[in-house]
Amino acid sequence: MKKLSLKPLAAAIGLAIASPAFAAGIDFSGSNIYMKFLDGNQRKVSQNSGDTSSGSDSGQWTEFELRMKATISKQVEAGVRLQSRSPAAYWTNFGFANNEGFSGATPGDIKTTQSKFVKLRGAYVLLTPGYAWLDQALIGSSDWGMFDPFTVGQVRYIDRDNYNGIYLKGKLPVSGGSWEVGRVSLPNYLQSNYGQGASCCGSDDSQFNEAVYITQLKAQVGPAKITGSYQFFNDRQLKPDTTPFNGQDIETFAKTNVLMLKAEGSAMDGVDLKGAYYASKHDAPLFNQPWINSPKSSINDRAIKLDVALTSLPVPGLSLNYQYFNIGAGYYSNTAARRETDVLLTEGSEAAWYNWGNSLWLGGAAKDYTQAPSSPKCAVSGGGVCRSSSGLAAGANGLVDNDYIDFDESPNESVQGWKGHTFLVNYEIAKLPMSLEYTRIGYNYNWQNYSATGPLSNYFAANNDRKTSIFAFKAGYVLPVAGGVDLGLKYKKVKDSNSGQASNAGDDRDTTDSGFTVSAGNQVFRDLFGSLSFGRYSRDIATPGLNIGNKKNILSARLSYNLAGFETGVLMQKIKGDGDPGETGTPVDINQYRMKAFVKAIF
Amino acid sequence: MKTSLRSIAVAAAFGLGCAAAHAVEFTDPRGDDKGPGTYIYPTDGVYKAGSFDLTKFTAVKSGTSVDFSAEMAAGLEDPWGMGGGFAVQMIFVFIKTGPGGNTTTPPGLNVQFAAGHEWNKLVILSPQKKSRVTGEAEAKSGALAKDIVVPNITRGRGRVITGSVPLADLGGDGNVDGWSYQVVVQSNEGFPAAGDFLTRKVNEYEGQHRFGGGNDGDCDPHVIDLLEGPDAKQADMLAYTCGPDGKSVKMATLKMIKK
Repeated sequence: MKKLSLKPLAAAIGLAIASPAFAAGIDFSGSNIYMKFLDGNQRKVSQNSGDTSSGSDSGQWTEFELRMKATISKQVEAGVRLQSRSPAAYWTNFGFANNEGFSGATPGDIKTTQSKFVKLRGAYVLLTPGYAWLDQALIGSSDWGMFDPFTVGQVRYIDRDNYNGIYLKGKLPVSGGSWEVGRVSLPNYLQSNYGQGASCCGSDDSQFNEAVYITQLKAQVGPAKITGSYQFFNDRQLKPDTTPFNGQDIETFAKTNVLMLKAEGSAMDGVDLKGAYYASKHDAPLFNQPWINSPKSSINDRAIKLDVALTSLPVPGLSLNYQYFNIGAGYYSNTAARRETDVLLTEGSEAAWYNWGNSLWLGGAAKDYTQAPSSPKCAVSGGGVCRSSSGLAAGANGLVDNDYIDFDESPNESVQGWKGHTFLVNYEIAKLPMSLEYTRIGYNYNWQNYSATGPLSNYFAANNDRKTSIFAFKAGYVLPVAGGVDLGLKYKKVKDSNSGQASNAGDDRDTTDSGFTVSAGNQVFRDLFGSLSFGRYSRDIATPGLNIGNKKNILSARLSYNLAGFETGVLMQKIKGDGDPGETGTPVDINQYRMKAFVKAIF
Repeated sequence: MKTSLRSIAVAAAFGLGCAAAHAVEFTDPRGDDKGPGTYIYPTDGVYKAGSFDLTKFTAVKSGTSVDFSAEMAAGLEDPWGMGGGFAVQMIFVFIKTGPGGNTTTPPGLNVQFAAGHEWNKLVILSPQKKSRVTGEAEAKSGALAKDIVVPNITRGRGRVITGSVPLADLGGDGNVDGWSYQVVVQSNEGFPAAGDFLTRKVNEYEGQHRFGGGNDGDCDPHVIDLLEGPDAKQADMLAYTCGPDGKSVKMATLKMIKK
């Protein structure tokens, strides 16, 4: 007993003696335990990741995340994030070895996502040396939110530590001026030669040193904040070399240059202006392959955004926003945001129809019933109905990544190739705020007989004649009873038509989504907020061979309960309707129940 | 002309909302979202120019409630999906409703109030859920927690963050237009440092999610903007002195503003 007591004491003394003088306390704030519960009448689980997108609507499991941040000295900070990699370690597995794959007959049976391994998600060192020319240097993991969604975009939530690199920042000798330089090690799956077979992923060791380089300058010029950046990526591969003793020869497989210039400021009180211009140049001299994230061959293109916001109009409570956008179909940056950043003023398509045709997504996405991709993954073998009428080529990778999301999250849609206008009017009178959006979208991939080997043939269908209009009205009011009842109303109509090939009336397709949502929320008591919502939606599809009417109601109940350091929430939905999700010509009844709950303890 | 129309609309709103209207409105200069004058926004793209620049504050008595609204220079966005129409801001409305009160403030702001300018109630407009804010207040603000009031529903629309609290929770005489106010703009931090009250830190150098231009210690005010009055200049109130060890030598000291 005495021995057991003395050992820790001796160890502590030893550590204290051994510790360097600058050792700092470690901040563990943000560390947490997260437990997730799914339930649904599809009664499916995924063996790999228990999120709805991966095919799960059932199961309960736990994840643990440990965050550590040490301020080692005034000039040095270091941080690390460890997380249990167990998004499918269901409670019912009980930790048995066969569930964790250890007893599997082959190594392929080892299911890391069901094993309660802890993984290094990210680590960084941040230096602030105090030099006049250098404010900070970050080495290691970052979500790269310091640049622009169209150049080096912020990395999506689940992968936010996965990108590593080096980031330097300092001041410029002009008002509000700064310079930034980044070297982002590019994940090999985003490299242009990913998927080249023997010459690529298996043997091309040059992929491990590939990186995107970006430099960004900012300055305040009068009322305008000016930002410019230039980025460069040279994707190389090993070249057959008969003289290996003088070093291995390499050659450029693909090369990308991206230039950005943007400005924002107030022209006068209440008049805010923003403008952004992007140009990309993609050279791919060696290149043609069946699957790739990059354009298949060389292409140059550009993207433009202009924003005007009028917020001090003579009518009190009235503000107007306008945006012009024109994003080239061939504008390409391999590090542009694929998720997490909303890049346009429009709220986009109706989320209630996200992944329509997949039995797990009958209610679409639930997050505020706003955005959903018009360009989802169009994997022929995947869930849902893969339609080239969305403008995508069959088998396209979707241009945007909505993997690993749940039905209560907002999916994203790619804006590549979009051009058009958005008008947004906000008005409030007598505590009744309202907003009205109208958006008209044309597409830069509206072309005919696009070459099957053209640079964008892996993104978009060969024939498109597509246009979309979005109308949305929202209103809210806090009813002054029971401590405030938060009422909401939304009506939205999205009309999308694609005539496809001009000479073929058979591929015409018009889709009209319309629907409304009403909601009411109340702080039931100090720690509990509850809300109910009801939505009714219709999707009418007209094709020369088939007219399809889809209708559904979504009834939702949401509860949110918090204590200091503890949070739990639940969303339950009942979806009922009828339609033809599979477009088979035979209508079916739709009846789905789904639930997601979570418990989070943060310490 | 603009002012006249606004006044008519405000008066009309009062007429719709309450029998005996009490209201107060303060304006604050644009472009002063630099704390004591040197602060710089974090570098992440979610912190848009003007996001923490307070331009107007109003308190309106409406029946048995008081409606608070804080107008920012930039349009509000919800990039973190908080659900209330805004995400990055957090507004502290300190109110002097009567004699006495507190000079200290919740941890993470690193400011105090001058003698004679004590606050009696603090209304917090946060994108976090009410229960998270009240829970943090009780865990980290000690005795101040009993004077902290959080609206049941806080919303951001356009450029305005609003919240309504029962008049009874504020105490005092109910004369909204006779009270004194100080409005502090901070940033909502979902993962605050262990002792901080949902506030974002100000460091010497700006980081992706940290303000810059201050001090790495907790001797600098973690306040990006506040209400300025004729006898209470922002730079004076937020003036501070740090010791070499990062500890406060002179703490930023705020004053109440009264119409």
